[in-house]
Amino acid sequence: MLCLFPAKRPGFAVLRHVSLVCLLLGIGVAVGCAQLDATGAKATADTGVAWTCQPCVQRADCGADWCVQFAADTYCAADCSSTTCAAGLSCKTLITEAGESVKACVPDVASCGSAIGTGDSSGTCQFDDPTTPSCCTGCGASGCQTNGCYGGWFCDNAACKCVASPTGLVCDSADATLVEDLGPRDVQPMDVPPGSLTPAGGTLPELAFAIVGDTRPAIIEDTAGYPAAIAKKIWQGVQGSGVPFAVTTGDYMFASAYGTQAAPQLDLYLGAAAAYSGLRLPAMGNHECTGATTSNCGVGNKDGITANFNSYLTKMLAPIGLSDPYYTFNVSAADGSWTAKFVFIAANAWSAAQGTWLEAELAKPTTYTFVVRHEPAAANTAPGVKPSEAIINKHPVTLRLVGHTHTYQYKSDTHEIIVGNGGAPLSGGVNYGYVLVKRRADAAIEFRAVDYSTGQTTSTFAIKADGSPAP
Amino acid sequence: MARPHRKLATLLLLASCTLAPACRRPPAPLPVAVPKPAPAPPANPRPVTQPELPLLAPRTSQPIALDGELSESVWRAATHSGGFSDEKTGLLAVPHSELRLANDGTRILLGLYAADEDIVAAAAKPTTPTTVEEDAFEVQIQRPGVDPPYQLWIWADGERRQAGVDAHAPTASATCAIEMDGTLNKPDDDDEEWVAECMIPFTAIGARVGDTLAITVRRCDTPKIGGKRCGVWHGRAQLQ
Repeated sequence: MLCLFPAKRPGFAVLRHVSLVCLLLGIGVAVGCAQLDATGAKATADTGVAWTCQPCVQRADCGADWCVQFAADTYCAADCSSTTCAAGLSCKTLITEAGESVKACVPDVASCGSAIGTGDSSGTCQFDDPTTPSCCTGCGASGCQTNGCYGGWFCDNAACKCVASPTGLVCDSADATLVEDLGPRDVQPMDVPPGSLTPAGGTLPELAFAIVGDTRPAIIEDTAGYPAAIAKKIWQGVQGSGVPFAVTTGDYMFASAYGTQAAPQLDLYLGAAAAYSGLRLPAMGNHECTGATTSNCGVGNKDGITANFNSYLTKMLAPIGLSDPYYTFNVSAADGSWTAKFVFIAANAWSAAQGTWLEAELAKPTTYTFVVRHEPAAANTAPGVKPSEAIINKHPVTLRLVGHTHTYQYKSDTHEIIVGNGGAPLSGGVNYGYVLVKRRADAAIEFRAVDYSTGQTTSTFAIKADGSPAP
Repeated sequence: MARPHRKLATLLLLASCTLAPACRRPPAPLPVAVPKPAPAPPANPRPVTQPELPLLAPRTSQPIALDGELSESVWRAATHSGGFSDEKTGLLAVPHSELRLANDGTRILLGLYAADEDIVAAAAKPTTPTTVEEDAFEVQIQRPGVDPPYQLWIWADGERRQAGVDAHAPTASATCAIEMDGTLNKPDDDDEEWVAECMIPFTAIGARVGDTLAITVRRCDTPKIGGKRCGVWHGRAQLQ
């Protein structure tokens, strides 16, 4: 099925066709309404209210019944919180058009649906996304989107009805198809002139970089479930920001330590990250060893050289001229006004040699010192966390840049920023995204967390070179 | 410092039974849903459309090592739930939870993933888990027209309870293994996730190959930033 939607809203420059998404959208709603039970008769709930496939926009359309989200649309359904449903109907917990969780009777065998997916031929897109003014009035008392719907739903402007939609669909102005918006629409470029950078370091007219962390599937070996689309959109956002380099905080795979999926997953990661043309500097995560936070890779360490570790070394470090998972990246101002070092610790490839190296690197004076490590200080079962913390705490540090926890969080008490919302299953209350960092004119460092789907800033803070808060 | 006492709400799974074979009480009445005030703006503004058409729970002959790892290939061929939906907003629930579903001809295979910054499990579990301490998955499986539904609770420390076991096989029992990346009941450190790998005998549910089962899985969690969140997935799956 090809979704043909004449476009109404031009202006999205970076669009890709997603016929498959159109197909799924069509399948999700193109189910006939008449066949509701084995006999073909319409089912009736014990409450006496027949299931009639009555569509609704808000609860007022349904009398005493709920207006529930069901089969990619909204229908009137009888409450079953205190009664049972008749044959052919089941009592299910559903979400209403207003976001309430209710119990309602809905069909077992088939679902209703109108033929969404054909669009119209009037030169307008049939579905308005949440930010586009439209004719829907389905938001009730809940948070009302610009299109008159609730909870991210689109407005079918042919029927003035809210409908579910896959993430990120927009109408392509070029050929009137429903497409996925892959472009960074709202990212504000940081306007950082290019400097001279290599993986060993270099000079920059201004200090600016991005932080991205934790990109992996939820289930081990699930390469098919790799969050490549999320990662690609994140890196497109970073690209749009104009920063000259990016720091990544680890965990790029979820693969069996001695299996075959580490390399394919890293290929997916690198493919997504190719959307960013700047320099990427990776930290090693626990999933680049065995996956266990307690794992320790490297020659002489308990887990040795796993397939994950080997793939990380060959696919992510070797291309930028590195052979060890711990290293330092030094940058300085072109005019000599500041220096900064990024000290990358591998807490899951910890060794006495790394400890000696860390002590020496942190002793080198710089204006700013950023310690990059996968695990936060609190994830202290990683072999290198406690020993590295003991060393770090003896030296001036601007901020620890970490991941591991799949969220975004600034922890002023431990001088850490957690950036672990790069596509791995989220554990906190923050959406996928990344962080943009820039040195301000007052020499403070400003951190800006960005939501990957909107490009909007969700949180900011600033610190001085010594890590103390800046106004 | 002890974590605040938290109990799960009882909108979906109202258990009144334990493992006792004689326990056949019907589920307690469901509470009437009370309209809530407008929810807070979602942190993750993605609508979740949960499937209402039957999924297929594929059949495997591959041996499963019950170790919580989900490393066998069957888990990648298994039906995926995708992320759960937030009970309050209907949007994608965070922290992330996920279900994988298959069967081996005699048992339902459940893989349950839980992203979790702070894995907790109370030492004493309720005998009658009308409410349960987090972190736990609550699973309800129902053959159409058969009451009461089969119910299973799995805690992060590996303990489990079940209820509604089919009368023809009163001793049938689910087996589960937990794989945890983190530390249990240690709130001052950061955890990553835990996974439950479970096998439920068909006989416990009275199910057969070809049956279509209504399945609900629910999990609540409180991230370190606070605010208890509950995610739920419900759908139907046919045993292939």
